[in-house]
Amino acid sequence: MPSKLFSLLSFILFILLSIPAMADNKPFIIDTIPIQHEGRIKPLSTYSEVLLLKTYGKKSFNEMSSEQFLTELLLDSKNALKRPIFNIANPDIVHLLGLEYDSNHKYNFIELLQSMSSRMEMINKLNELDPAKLTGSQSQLLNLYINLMEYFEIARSLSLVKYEFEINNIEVSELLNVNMGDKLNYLDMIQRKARYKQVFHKLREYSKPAQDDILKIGEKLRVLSRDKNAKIFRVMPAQGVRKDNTWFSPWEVMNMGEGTPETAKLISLWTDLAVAYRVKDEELWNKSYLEIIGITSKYIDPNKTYFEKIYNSFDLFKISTGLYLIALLLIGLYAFSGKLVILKVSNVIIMSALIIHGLGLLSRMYIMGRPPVTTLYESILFVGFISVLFSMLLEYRNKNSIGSLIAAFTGSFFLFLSIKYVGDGDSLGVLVAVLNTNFWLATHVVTITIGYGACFVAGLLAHIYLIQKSFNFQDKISHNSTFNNMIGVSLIALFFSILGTILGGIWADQSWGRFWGWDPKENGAMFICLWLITLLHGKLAGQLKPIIFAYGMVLTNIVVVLAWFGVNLLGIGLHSYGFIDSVATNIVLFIIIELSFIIFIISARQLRKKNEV
Amino acid sequence: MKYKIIVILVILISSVIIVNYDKNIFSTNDTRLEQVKFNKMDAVDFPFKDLSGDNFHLFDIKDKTILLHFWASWCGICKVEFPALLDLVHKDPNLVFLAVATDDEIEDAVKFLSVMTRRHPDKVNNGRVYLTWDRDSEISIKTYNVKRVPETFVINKDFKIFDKIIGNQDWYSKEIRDRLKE
Repeated sequence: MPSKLFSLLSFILFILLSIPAMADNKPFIIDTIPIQHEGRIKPLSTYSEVLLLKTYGKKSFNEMSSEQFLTELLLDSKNALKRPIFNIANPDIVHLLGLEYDSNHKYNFIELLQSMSSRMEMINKLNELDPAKLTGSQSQLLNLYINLMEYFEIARSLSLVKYEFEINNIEVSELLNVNMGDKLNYLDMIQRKARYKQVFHKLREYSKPAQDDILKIGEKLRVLSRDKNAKIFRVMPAQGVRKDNTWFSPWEVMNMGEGTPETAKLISLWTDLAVAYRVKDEELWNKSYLEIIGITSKYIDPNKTYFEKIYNSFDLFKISTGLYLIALLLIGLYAFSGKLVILKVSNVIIMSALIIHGLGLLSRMYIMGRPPVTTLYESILFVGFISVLFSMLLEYRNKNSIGSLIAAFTGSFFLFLSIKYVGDGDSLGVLVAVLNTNFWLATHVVTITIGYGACFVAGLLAHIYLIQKSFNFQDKISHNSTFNNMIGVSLIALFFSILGTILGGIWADQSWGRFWGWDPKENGAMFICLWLITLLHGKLAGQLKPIIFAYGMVLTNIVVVLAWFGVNLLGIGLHSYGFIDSVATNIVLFIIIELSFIIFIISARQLRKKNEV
Repeated sequence: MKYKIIVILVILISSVIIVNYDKNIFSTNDTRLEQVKFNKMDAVDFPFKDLSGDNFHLFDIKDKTILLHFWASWCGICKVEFPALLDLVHKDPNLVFLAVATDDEIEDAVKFLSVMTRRHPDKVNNGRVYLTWDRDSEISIKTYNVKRVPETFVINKDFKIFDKIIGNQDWYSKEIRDRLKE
């Protein structure tokens, strides 16, 4: 009982330690308002992280959160454009732009724009070249230019609602039928365009100060009208005028014929938000903010966007990576000291990490409304989860620390690996069309990835078995127990791989009209099944000695990696997640490591035999 | 142990199915993005002065389906389709027509409308056609977010918008007739 209490308390402590302080919904921060970006409706909180990661390389800028930063960029762009937000790590680019490279290498929009504008010819030339032929520095420069333009576009997204005109001339105010001292935005001015035209045609009839003001208004209108191409900030829900569900930026709404009383209301609310931000009127801010959320709630569940904002602030996978690593260290410590309490603590930590890992996956499922196995990144997270789960079930059964060791290792390994594939944007990406079927995604893809996870656990058990056997760690009973576990897990792996492959065939039959098409991924899945069947059959028929079976299971890892990642390298077939350059090197490295391990074990065993003789 | 493994497998598989079970389980569409046309959007009332000088509210004429039409006399296609719209409304007693001219000058709108009245007096004066000029774009830009013409909102008797037709149309086509029926 005390040990259970201890476990529970440690668990609670870890959860509490793991949860960062939840941010309050502070005023003057735009975070939960939805935006349509890269085909998905997401909170602006997610978009702000994507934007900041692209330019600054981090999710926050000094003391500012990404949301605070985005809010400033939208509503006080003059200030935001002066912030050194562009992180240029490559000194060649900095020199190319005629700027000074220092250890900080952060530059603001204005200085970058100035140096870019004198080098437009070069940028245009680069833009015309085949992207595959660009050098690293050239494509970085082009990317910097694209990011710079996107950044500016966002800064100008709300220029039509911001008060850019102040009428301080009595004559002009009378002519335009507004009060002296009134502040007007672009839309107010456009409403008065007929009056303005009349005034402009009789310009010479007015006093000099009035003439100056009238000309200034015209010039400002001309400059502002350039912003009409600002399309990225799609916060106006599709009104149903068009058949697709594209949302629109405030500038686009009227130009695309998407205007309705609802968009008019939204624009007036964004105007209020801009005013509230400028004069720091908390009451007006909250009122307009909630009204915007209220209107957009017809199009997306506000709880979902709020949840995603919270999910963004937690970084659950980072927390569980840390916990798995701590557990791995503790297990190492246990191996040396042999104190059972250390093992227990590490098990509690692994379980906490597993729960947090699972919560992360569940959160992604809730946000996306589909199983968490839609991209390479997600499949790594999921395989990691399954591996830890199976290993902990083994540990629960055997209580000999081997399960915990594999759990902590696979957990940290896969989560570390996932960081490499998260990309620099929104990891909650939109599905490729073929995966857009929830039922089959849930059955086929999940089953296949469970199979991968089980294969890795069986493969790692084989490593442990070989080490135990070759270096005489522990007794024969432990060796046999490891071996039996390996057989058990490989049976589970075989079960899921075969089930997944058959389900995949049925899905293929429904969506592509054939059960089997010798697609690289299909062959990969079949190869895993055949490999496992061969090994298990050989073992059951008595043809394969346990040690050979174990070598075979080590090779299973290579088979799985080839089927899982290797297929992408072929660049053909219907299952490719997309070509990733670094994958090839990593796969080769992995194969070399696994083969070296086998060679190492074989030579160690031969050496031992020689010594024994 | 075997029993336990089977139980765990069953739980795993069923939880995957349960978590993903929703009413669109076999659907290939992304239901979150499924559009609800105009989402039962309320039309917004506004006062207007008919060119004959009488004052109305949009709300006053909602006993029939309203065609709230934005146009301008400088817009060629608006002028081309105007007679067809008048004809459509004349033939369908369930429709009322409010044409909002977005011209800079009232005279330009009046000039074209008087030609229409002269040519189609019965269609303009049938009691279901209202003509107004939108001074300072209060109706078009401010209330209905309309900047380009022609654009037509279709508003039902419950004062809800149920369609919006952009650009010039063949108002006699079956497609348009269907769209005008809710």
